[in-house]
Amino acid sequence: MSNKKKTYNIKITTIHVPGSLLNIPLPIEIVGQEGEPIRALITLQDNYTQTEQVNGPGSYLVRTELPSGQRIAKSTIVPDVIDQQIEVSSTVKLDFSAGDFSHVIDLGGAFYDDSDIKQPFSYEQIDNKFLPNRSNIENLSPIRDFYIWRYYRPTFIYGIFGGWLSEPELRRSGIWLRESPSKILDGGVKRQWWEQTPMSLPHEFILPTYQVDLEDSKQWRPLLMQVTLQSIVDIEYLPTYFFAIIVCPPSPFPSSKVTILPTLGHLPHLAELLSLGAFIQDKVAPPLMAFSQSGNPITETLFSYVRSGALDAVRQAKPTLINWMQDILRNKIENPVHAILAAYALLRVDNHERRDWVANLANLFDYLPDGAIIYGWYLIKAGKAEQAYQYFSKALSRGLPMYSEGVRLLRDGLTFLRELYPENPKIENDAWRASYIANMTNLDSELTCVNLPFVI
Amino acid sequence: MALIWADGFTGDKALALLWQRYQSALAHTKDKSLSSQERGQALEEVEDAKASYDKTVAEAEMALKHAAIDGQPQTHALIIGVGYYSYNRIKALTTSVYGAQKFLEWILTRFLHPDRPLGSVELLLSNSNEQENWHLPSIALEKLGLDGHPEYTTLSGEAATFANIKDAFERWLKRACANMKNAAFFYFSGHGLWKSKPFLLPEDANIADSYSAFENLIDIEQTQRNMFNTPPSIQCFFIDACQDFSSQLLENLDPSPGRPLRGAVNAPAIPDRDAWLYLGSYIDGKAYGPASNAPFFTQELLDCLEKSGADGVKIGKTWRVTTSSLRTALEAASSWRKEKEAKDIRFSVQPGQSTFTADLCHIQNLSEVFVKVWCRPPRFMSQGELYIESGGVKSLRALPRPDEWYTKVTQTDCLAGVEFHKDSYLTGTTENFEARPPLHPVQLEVESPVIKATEILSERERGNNS
Repeated sequence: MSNKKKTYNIKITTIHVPGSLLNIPLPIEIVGQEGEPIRALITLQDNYTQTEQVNGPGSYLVRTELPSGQRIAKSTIVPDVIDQQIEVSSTVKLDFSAGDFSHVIDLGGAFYDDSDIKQPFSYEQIDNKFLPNRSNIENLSPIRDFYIWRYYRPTFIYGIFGGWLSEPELRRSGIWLRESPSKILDGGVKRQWWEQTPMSLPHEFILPTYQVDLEDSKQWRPLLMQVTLQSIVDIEYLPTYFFAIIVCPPSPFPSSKVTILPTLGHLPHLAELLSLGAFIQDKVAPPLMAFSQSGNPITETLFSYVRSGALDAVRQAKPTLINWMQDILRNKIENPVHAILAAYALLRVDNHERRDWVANLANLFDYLPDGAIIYGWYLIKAGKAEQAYQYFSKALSRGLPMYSEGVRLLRDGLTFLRELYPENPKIENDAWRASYIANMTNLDSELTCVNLPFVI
Repeated sequence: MALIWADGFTGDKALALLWQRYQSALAHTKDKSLSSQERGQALEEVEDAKASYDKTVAEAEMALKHAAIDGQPQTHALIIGVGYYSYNRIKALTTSVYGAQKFLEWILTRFLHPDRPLGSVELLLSNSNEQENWHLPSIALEKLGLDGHPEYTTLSGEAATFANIKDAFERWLKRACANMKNAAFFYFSGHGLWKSKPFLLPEDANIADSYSAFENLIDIEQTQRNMFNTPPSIQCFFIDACQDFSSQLLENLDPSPGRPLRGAVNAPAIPDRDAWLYLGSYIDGKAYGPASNAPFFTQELLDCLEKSGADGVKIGKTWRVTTSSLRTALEAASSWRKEKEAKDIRFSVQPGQSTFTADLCHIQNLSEVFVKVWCRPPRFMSQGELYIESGGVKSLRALPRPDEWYTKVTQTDCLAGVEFHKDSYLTGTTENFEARPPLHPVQLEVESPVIKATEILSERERGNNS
């Protein structure tokens, strides 16, 4: 018998990996009969084999939880070495088509298992090109709550895209401009104009298909956004404006996706439409859930794990996450939304990791409330609650957080500060505002979706 | 004060015994047939009983503190069951109090953790008028020091009002935070509601209407959030309450109707923390339970903690239940119960912060494992009859359904299968597996001539192309 150390391996092959899961670091567990399980990360690719060493011969279970909450497990028996063998392996095939449950999507989970969900979007336009979708458009019900309107400055968002947008190329990542109402005194006369600040958006919005309960009278609507697209043709800068609204097609169209509906510039300004009461509130619309695809599968995966409570999976992937976050933040101007998702994930499993990076997220992106909220919580956790208020306040002034996780954290952070500083009227007021927003938000949704309790 | 059990306090120093003596003495004073002399004597007895209880509690607190200083981690539990509500508008419950009683029985008699044994139990109960007498099992009576005292076959907790709960919470947290490695278990069963987060209703809670404001609601999420900078490192909240909301609630302008049990303190976060809220309902959902037994969530929670919620790893002779495996097991239990009871049962979790995965308790004999079975392609699920064979017993799914089948097995060597009607074009299939907790997923590949033909055609096509 050789003196060389015997090794026992399991070769794990991943098959039928859907596009939505490609290249994500999937945490797996290899559980033997006794002792601690072996934990590893597999970067998912179709027909890819990764070898993991195990302690010895015996029966093992290779198992994993997908970001959607779906679980896959396969058993294998690693035989003992015979004769002069110094290495022995058994194989396991993890079949990811197992996660294909697109007909039953769990509202609480992510969307990764829906094989259709990553298909290129077809954007419903308001012109004749997509006429059959006109009925959807007629049913749209954007946010039109004056309470929010007046005090929380809903964001009108203008997008700047590189290159003329042919339909398939239309992406929501990139730098956007937010318009907020602002007032000046001009020769003693109060005037209002729209102040522009840049912001980012996740590039695709998704409404999962789910069974509609028509008896439910609660109505949730996604964050209202008015979009003006600008384009660059060759070198010449040619802005092309039109506005759009993120809508949820109501119950007759439960399988539709949330999308930005572009409308041409000759339509009246949205504020005018709102004031005219042009939209009818749909009383039987189901609760709205909006999910997004940020374009970065790793951060999305980990954020989905955070949302579903699989925090051990997030911790397992933390080193990878931190590396990615570093890369993301190096390229932060391109898409800070990825960094925001990574920061949300880290906040749940760590107290202090890369606090300076999160500070950058809060300070460099005036148009993203989420970064300021996360950093506010980092300060509270560092025992520097006295510095946290300025960031929560900053977040409120920037508009609604992009993710409902931010709505929850903002509310809880300001409530914490209100208890700590009960004599501070500003904190009291902001805590009230944050709680008010949270009350109107569907916290089940990934993206901030706001309820419309009032009829205008 | 209702500390009813502390490690090491037995015999004459058993806290439950002293508490019951105090409660009996108190009840005696309310006897209207007493003469003034007898009443005076009864009041003296109350004072004596209370003094005796208070003195022993103080000793127990000191002993627990010393154990913590000596480095012995312990598990401290605060158990609250609310059935009686002082505001008439809030309906009384019975199941919630049974839930608290069952949780108490479990933690006293069946909770197992070799490195972090039970340290203390604090109990608050508000029984509804319909509540049946609680007959504690003899093993629980023995543990409480009530055996040999036939006059005490039951146990009464302190009334679960907001003020009492807050006081008990502070005492419980003080005990638990004496050692970073302690575990703090909080169990609540009673009414609850949702207004952007879950709120719990103690005995004296009021829900706002046109005439009155919210009163005495517990903001449990903020309570947990505010505990980020206090030991112990393991903080688990088990909440068996509804999360109902209505348009009336939503439109009420009070954005934060409840108060947390723990106030805010400006201090750095503790380095390691595993904090979870396990809930018996989902947003806008109800928690269900039979009128004469514990709510379904509590039943399942206790089953998970003592039978089925292990993480699949055997450490020595026991299996451990972790915060993570409990999440998975409860998720399975929720689906299993939903199908069994044909009600919209949906448990949920709200993870707080989790820098590590804590083990909550150990299981001596793993007697159940949840199994999830489904077919691929999933569209065949509703056409087939799913079954599992375990220990020679074949269990069938009651009715074919389009979603996954969650079931429990009692033996690890199992076979899952699907059968189709003899006239069907589909062929049944089986899979052998060794069930591993907390949830073993089994996928059954269904063969159909159509799928097979498609595969052959694509194979041929690939061959032609190449």
